[in-house]
Amino acid sequence: MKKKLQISFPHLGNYYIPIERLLKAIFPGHTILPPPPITVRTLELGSRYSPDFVCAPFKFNLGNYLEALEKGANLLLQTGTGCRFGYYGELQEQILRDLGWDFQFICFSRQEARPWLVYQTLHRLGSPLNPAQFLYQLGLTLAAIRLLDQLEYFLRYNIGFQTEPGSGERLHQELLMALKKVDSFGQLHQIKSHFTKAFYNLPLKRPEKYYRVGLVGDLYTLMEPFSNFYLEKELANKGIAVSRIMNISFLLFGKNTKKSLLSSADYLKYNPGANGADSVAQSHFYAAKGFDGVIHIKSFGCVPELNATPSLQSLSRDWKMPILHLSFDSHTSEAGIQTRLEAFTDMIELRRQRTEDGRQSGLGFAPQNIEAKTNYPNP
Amino acid sequence: MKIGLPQGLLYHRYQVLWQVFLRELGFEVISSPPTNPAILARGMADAISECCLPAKICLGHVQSLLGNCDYILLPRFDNTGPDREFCERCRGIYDVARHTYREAPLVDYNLQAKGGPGEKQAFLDLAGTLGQSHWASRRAYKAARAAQEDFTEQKIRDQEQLLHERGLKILLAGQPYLCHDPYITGPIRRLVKEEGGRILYSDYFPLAACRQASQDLSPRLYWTLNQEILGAILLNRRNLSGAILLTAYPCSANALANEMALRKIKDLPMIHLVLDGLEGEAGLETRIESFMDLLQGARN
Repeated sequence: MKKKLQISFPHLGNYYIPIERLLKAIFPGHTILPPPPITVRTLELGSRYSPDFVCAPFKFNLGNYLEALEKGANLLLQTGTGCRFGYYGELQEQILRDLGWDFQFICFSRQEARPWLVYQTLHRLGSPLNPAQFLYQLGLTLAAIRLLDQLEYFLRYNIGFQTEPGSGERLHQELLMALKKVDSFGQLHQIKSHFTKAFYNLPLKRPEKYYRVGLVGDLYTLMEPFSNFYLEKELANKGIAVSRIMNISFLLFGKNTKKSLLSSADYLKYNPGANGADSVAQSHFYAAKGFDGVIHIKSFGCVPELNATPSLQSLSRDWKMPILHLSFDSHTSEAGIQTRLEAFTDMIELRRQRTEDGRQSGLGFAPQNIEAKTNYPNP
Repeated sequence: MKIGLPQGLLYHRYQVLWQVFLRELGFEVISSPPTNPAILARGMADAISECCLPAKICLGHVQSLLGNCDYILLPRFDNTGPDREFCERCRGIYDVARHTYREAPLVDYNLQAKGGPGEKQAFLDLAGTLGQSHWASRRAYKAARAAQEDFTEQKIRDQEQLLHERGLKILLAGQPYLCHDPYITGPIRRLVKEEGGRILYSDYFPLAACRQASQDLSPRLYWTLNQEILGAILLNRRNLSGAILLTAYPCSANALANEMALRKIKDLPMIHLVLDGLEGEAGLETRIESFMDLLQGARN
């Protein structure tokens, strides 16, 4: 009899729910142990054992692993592609082993991330599923993630205008609870029709004039709200419609670096790595849609995003659209971010007033005949 | 026509290739001056503050060439094969420079063996952009490649000899743009020599063997420059007295790969120096002196 597995994985926003469900289906009889929610302690633990100037996601992941190991996890999962993320697993395993923990570490990074190899590895670990069942569960999880992303995209754009405070959040929690239990496409379909209706019927009161802000940047800082001090919530509280194209569905189904390079126009000639090209293409998209501003967030020292930054600055100058660059690290103070955010929102309000005054004189308007060629969903 | 080469990033690795290629095609070639405080200050002012030191220096070099030549050659380095990638910084430097200095007359080629044209085709395209014929550029590329290989082989032979001589042999383990930069590592080299040590460079070894050897230490490592550094340490650690691991602040690849080296290589004395271009020489002196004393003590 094999030892009972206690499987854990790092956090990323709300995605622990579909992932936990998938692992439960793949390993029936074993324990799935999502790490405790990220707290300040997680980050402290992670930073203590991380190399000096590694990016913040590494520290968060390591903190998650340490807290999961404390709870008794004995199998840790990691993935990895692009930039530094592809090398995370190997070093994290080494650091944890040097600390004296005993565990199994499975890393699906780069070449190992192919579905057949993943299946073989999981089978070796004791999963009783056959390939067809495995594919079914994988497809179901992807569909669930897609639904979650779609509804969150809607919510992000509208939650700032809810008439009854907290109603959107409550609905979101209900959705997460429902997704926890789903185990067939039929159920998922029911959830989808129920919640789509519920979300679209959310009582909203949108003023005639409202501000729209796009979020671009590196994937972890965008998707893990703890690492960006709940920036989206902060913006929604100010009554701003927030749009964010980046999510897991985008990474899996929508990401196409060649298209992104094309639609980032002349701002990028080559792929700067990871999501740099997407950041520029999405900012270009927001500029063409007439958004009031873009917030570019990244973890400290994220090279692909730093490569994209000069292009974003040029784009901001040419289209006369303000872009706020924020960098997050374990030392970043929340008060500093809030001050900058307030200054930014004040600025977009001022700018809107000025462009409305200056419309006749042709001041501050981007060329309207240029349409960004993208296949992003309409906000 | 005059073409300028900025002495930043991989200049120290490919300089012969670039110079011979462009001279064979009949261009006049100038290099930016060796890194000096003015160039560093310029780069620090123009780059985003979070950028790594080599990128800032490279931008400083590009700036120093503005107005002195007709074109500036700033290639983009992606990979030299599967799992032999350059860091994200080398991939993005062309676009960064293009938008930092929007008036700069930059020309580039794209070194991308996997998913791209490969080095030879990239050079032919470059020559095409500069208005040269296909056959002339083929000839020039052939000559340039031969000259570059002669140059590296000579360096490898010299260092091989040094490796088997007696004395305190210190390996300077870092990317070519750190090891060979006179401003960043000049003081380190001088201090080691003053203490009676001899300097070896991690990129003057047979690089293919080094990359292969690094797989034993870290099978998933995919940055080719880091593979070479780790491999050079692994293959030659019996013949070395010590190694100085160099990391520029805040280098993305070295932050991880050097951490791995320090955790896994236990049988060679190593120090890890983090360079940000602002450190005083006094601090450096103390660390290198004590390191050299330690090595001397171990020998006696």
